[in-house]
Amino acid sequence: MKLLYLYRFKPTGGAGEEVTKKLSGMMSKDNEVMEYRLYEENPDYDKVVDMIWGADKVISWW
Amino acid sequence: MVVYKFMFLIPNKIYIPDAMRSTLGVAVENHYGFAAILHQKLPPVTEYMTENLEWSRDLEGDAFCVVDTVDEEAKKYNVDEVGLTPITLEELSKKALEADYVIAYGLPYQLRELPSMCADSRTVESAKTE
Repeated sequence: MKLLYLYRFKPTGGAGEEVTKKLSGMMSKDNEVMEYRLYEENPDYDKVVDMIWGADKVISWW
Repeated sequence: MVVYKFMFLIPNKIYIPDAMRSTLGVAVENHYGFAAILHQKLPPVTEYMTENLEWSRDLEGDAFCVVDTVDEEAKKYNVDEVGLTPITLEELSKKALEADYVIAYGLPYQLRELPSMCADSRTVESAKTE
């Protein structure tokens, strides 16, 4: 399965980030994963749309 | 009609009642709604939240508490007292992959606890009457 992970917030550390990393890592197992960080400067939304169309499942993490 | 499975992931205490209501919301639209509390002890459970949980289960959904990421006090309250279904992170990852939509609900986990007056709606209500 092709997974797309979108990250909305800059990581701040702590338990929240750790659990997100663990959970997303477990879900990545045996799957193809694409990632995009929306919090970085000037996100390329055309690229994001293409990635969404190319994915079987999209998860917009915090 | 197409039936979908929704998995709501809830890291932030102040969004728990809202997210559990949304879980019930998708269930009443004839989808399957599941919620997973990732970190914290539930706010004091009101009759409204208890009803939401019961209705969700009646409609073949469920609410989980991730037992390997919450502390002992939260686990005791969420699972033993409120009756959330215990689940490990590994099991949750499998359930989330089975879901058609995984919704990372609300804001991320907060590094600092909110003052109790903000985090606990019952406390606010009782403060109003004092």
